[in-house]
Amino acid sequence: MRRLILWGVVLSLLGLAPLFLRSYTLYILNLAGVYVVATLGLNLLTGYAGQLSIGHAGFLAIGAYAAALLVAKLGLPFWLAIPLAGGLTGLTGFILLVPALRLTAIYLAIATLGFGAAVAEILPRWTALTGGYQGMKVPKAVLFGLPLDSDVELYYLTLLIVIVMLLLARNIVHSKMGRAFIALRDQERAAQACGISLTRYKAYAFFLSAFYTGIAGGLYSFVVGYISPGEFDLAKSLFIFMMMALGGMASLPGSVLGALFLTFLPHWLSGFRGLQQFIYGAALVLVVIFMPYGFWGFIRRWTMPDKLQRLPRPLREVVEEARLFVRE
Amino acid sequence: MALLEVEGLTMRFGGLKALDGLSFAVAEGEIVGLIGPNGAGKTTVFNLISRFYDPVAGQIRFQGEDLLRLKPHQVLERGIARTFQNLGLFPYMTVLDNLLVGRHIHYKTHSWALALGLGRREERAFRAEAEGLLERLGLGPLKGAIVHFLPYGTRKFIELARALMTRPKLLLLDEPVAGMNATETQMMGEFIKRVRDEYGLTILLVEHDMSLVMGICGRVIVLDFGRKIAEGTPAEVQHHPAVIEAYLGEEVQVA
Repeated sequence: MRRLILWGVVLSLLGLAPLFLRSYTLYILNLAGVYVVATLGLNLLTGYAGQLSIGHAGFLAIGAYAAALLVAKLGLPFWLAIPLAGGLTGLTGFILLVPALRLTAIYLAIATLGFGAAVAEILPRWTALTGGYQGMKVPKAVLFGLPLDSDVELYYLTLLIVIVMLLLARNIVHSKMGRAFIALRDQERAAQACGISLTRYKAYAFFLSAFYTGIAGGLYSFVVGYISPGEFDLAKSLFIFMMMALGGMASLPGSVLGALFLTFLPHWLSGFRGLQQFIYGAALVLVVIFMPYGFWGFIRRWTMPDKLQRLPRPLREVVEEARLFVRE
Repeated sequence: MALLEVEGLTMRFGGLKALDGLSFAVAEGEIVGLIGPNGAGKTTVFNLISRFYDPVAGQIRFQGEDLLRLKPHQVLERGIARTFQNLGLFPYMTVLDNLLVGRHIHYKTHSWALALGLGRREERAFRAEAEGLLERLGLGPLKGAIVHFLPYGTRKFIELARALMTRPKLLLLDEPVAGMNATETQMMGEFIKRVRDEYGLTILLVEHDMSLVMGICGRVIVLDFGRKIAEGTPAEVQHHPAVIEAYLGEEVQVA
C-alpha cells in the first residue's frame, strides 16, 4: 500500500513536471529519458549478462537513422517507426553475438568498439540514405494529424516510453531470463549444468540490448529533430557506459539515476567555464572510488542493508573477468 | 539395465592421460562412490558426463541414450544434475534465486511472455517449492541472503538443494563435504541418503572424506592415474592391495 502511494506521488510529480519546468529543462529531461532507455539496454547486456560493450553508440545511431528514415522515406507514423527501429536494431545486435561466443571481457569490448567505429564510418559515406556528414532533419512526430513539436509533448512521449521500457526490463530481470543472464555472467559452467544454453541467452541479451538502444535512438531522433553521424562516436558509447557504471551495474534504478546524473552534470557545470572538464572528470573518479556499486548500490547499502536483493557485480570484476572459474 | 554406463572412456589433456579406458556402470537407486588420489581423474569423469569436454575415446550412455551427442546444457534435460568441487553457485544472487535457476528448464511460460509479465503463477509455485526445500534444510531464514556472504558449509547445502530443484534422476556430487567439519559431514551424509530415498535418486559422488564414502556408498570405484584399480563394497575396497598401494601407505581412514 505504501509503495502504491509512493509510486502514485512519483508518477503525478512526473506528470505535472511540465507545469513547473522551463522548456529548456524539459528538453534536457527528454534527452535524459533517451539515455535512460539506452542505459537500460546496456545494463541488460553488460550489467546482467556480463558481456562488455563499448560500442553502443552504434546501436543508438542505427535506431536513430532507422526511425528517421522510416518516417521520411516510407511515411510511417512515428509510433510505428520507433518500435520498428528498435526491432531492426535488435537484429543488428546479432552481429556482436558472433564475437561474443568466442571472446570474453576486454577482448569482447574491443570487438564492440570496432562495431561502433564501423557504424560511425558507414553512416557519413552512405550519402544516398543518410545525407552524409551534414546529417538529416527528422520529420516531426505526428499524432492524429497534430504535430508533437513542443518539448512538453515530447516530454510525455519520452515519459511513456521510459515507463514501458522500465516495466519490461523489470519483468525480464526478475524472470528466468534475468536469472539466466546473471548465471552465465558469474559461472558459465554451472549455468550450463543448470540447463542454460549460453548461445541462446547471449543471443537474447544482445538482441534485447540492441532493441532497447534502438528504441532510445528512435526517440532521440524525434526529441532532437536532427541527426548527424558525428554524434554517435566512441565518446557517446563511453558516455552510455559511464551512465551504467555510475548508476549501478545490474540495477534498473541505477540506470535511471546514472543517465539523469550524467545528462544534467554538464549543464550544471556550464557556469564553470574552463574548469568544466576538470570537475566532470573529478566527479567521475570520486564516484568510482567511493561508490563501487554505483549510486543505487550506495543508496541501498545505507538505507536498507537488510533488504539487499541482488548485489550488482562490481565493475572491476566485469572488466578483469575475475570470475570464479570452476576448476579441476 | 544400468542407468549410467561408461565404456572405455579415455581423456587426454595435452600429454597427460587423465582417463585411460575407464568403464563402469551405475544402476538405478545406487549411491556409488568414485575415489582415488588427487589427479586420478575423478572430476574429469564428471566433466565428461557434463559434456564440458569431448573424450578422446569411449562412450557414455544414460538410460541407453548416447550422451556424447548432447551439448552441455542438454545434459540436465535428460535428468543429470551436478554440483561442483569449488561450488557452482551464483555468488551475487540470493539463495532463493539460486534455487530458482535450478528450475530453469521446467518453466513452461516462454521467455518473451515473461517479459510481458505473464507466468506469475508458475513463478510463485516454483518459489513456494524452493522455500519449502530450504525450510526442510533448516535454511528457511536465509532465503533472501546473498550467497556471497554465507559460510562455505551452508553454500554446499544450497548447491545440493539447487541440484534437487532440477528434478534429476542422477545426481553427480563432486566432493559434497570438502572443507566441512565432522558434524556437517555427518549431516550431509544423512541428507544425501534421505534425498536418495525420497526423490528416488541415483547418486554418483566423488569424495576424499572416507567416513562419508564408507558411510553412505553401496559400492565404491577406485581410480588411479585414470584407470579403475578396484571396485566393490566399501569394506572390500578398503582391504584391496592395489588401493592401499595407490594411497601409498596413506592408510584409508575409517571413522
